[in-house]
Amino acid sequence: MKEMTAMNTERAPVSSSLAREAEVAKSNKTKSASGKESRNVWLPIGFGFLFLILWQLKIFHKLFHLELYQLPLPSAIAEAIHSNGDLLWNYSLYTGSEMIGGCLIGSAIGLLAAIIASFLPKAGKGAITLLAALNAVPIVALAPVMNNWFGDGVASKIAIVSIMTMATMAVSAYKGLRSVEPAYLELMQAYAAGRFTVFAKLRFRLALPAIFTALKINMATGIIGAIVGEFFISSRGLGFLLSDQIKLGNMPIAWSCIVIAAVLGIALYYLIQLIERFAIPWHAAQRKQAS
Amino acid sequence: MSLGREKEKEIRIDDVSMVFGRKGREVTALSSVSFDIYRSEFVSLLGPSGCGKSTLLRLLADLLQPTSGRITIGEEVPREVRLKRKYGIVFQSPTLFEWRTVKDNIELPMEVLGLKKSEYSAISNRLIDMVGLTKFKDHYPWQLSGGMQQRVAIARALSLDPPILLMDEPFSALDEFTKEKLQLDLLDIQKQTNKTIVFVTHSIPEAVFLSDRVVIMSAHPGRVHSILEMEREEGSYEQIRNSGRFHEMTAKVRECFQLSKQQLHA
Ligand SMILES: Nc1ncnc2c1ncn2[C@@H]1O[C@H](COP(=O)(O)OP(=O)(O)OP(=O)(O)O)[C@@H](O)[C@H]1O
Ligand SMILES: [Mg+2]
Repeated sequence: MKEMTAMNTERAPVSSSLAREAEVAKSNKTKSASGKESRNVWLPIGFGFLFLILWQLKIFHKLFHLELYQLPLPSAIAEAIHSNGDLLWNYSLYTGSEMIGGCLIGSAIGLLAAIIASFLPKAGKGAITLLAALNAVPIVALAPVMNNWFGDGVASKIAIVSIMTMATMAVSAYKGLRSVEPAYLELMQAYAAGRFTVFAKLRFRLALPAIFTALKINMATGIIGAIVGEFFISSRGLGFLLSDQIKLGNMPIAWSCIVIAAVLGIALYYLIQLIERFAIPWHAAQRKQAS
Repeated sequence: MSLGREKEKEIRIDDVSMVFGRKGREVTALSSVSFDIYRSEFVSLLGPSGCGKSTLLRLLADLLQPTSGRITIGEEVPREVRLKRKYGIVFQSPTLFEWRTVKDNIELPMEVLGLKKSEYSAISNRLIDMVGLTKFKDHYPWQLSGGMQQRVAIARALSLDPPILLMDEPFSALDEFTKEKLQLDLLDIQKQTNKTIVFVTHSIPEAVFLSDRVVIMSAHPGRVHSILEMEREEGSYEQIRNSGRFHEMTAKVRECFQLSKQQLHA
């Protein structure tokens, strides 16, 4: 291939046109507006604070005719979190591990199912449709059964969350794996790439955005699964504490559970977003931010 | 390189027809196409949109199977040629992987073949220099202009140094200067490596400048209208482009091209 180095470097018009293209491409690249990105962060934070202030000033109480025991003030909730710190921390870890464990196991099974199905074009589609039916199973029905199978510890809630999340991942990842433009398949075919090479070098890469989207949805589903699961079967965890304290009329502690669950959900969402940014920097959503 | 005629036939296209679609809604993309391409020959396919140029290229690449007829490349069927990676292909669109840098995109065929990075890194660097993307080798496709993307696709097609090159309008998205440079580079490559090149184009001057022979096709159904022999001259780009012969041949091709289009409307 030595011959291919032949290059007409002495052709001035050519190099100038290349230089012009270089300029264009560079200016496209450096135009990334860091101002826009920081505005994206501060806006929700600003709104969050405004919301808290209105809440603390009892605006919502007046609007919806609520009493303080029905909707405690942010200061009272903060006080409750502070004075029950150890308990809430332990329960957060407990519920968090149910949620993350279930979400990871469910997503892993779903992804594996999607990958296997993607290799079986005809049978695969039917199998995924069948798996999607899991989404229709109500958690209310699932909880007692899982309690019966796995007891009232972490395992039953992990099972609930797994079942609730695997279908979403399977359907989403399968769609991603199968939605390859024909031109790219032709390219791989032209280079005599086998099915596994096409999977590893093309399909899986193209499916990554769909996989991350499913993970984010699954984290949210996971919180619901873990907390509602604890309503039915548990003597520990944020969901247990929440339902227990509401029964006792201890609203500030009940609300601390809600706040912590929300913070946990938001934190995990951003964690996945961060991983996504490293895993698929080419993805359109991030690309738009960069240009 | 009219010497090519004394050489052996490399590609035989024998009564090839291609019909798309199911019964009742058939589209005849190619109808009884027959011609041969000699080893180390530069053949251009010229014709109106929809006359089946891309289809013919896909048939040669074994990305489609003809409805009837036979294609032989060397002593082999297209499938064997594909599996042995004896051709490089440039599609009408760049088809780059957006998660791969310029360098990684060019290395894809070598990676798929199972070569080691240490073996192919030097090759891809040379190709990057050749297509003038040295400063951009770590850029991603979305950071490149359309013309730059197409140059990456060309370099990728050359990466395995295949004896046959199939190119579908590879230069149509490029500016004049880059086009000129790459046309000359392509001729250099062909002269030095004796590649057989099948080149689809819409541009009559480009076909005349590059080709040993120009195959003019007509549409609906796609057929070979005529095959014109070019006389390639020695000299600089400007000398050739300004020569009387070049203008003569361009006029001749244009005339045939017009005839092939009239046939379409008749
Ligand atoms: N996969 C396909 N399915 C159905 N019809 C097709 C397919 N590919 C091509 N055709 C039809 O075959 C004909 C020839 O198409 P082809 O793409 O080969 O034309 P072309 O000469 O390359 O045109 P252009 O210059 O616009 O690229 C067209 O009528 C097109 O509609
Ligand atoms: Mg075409």
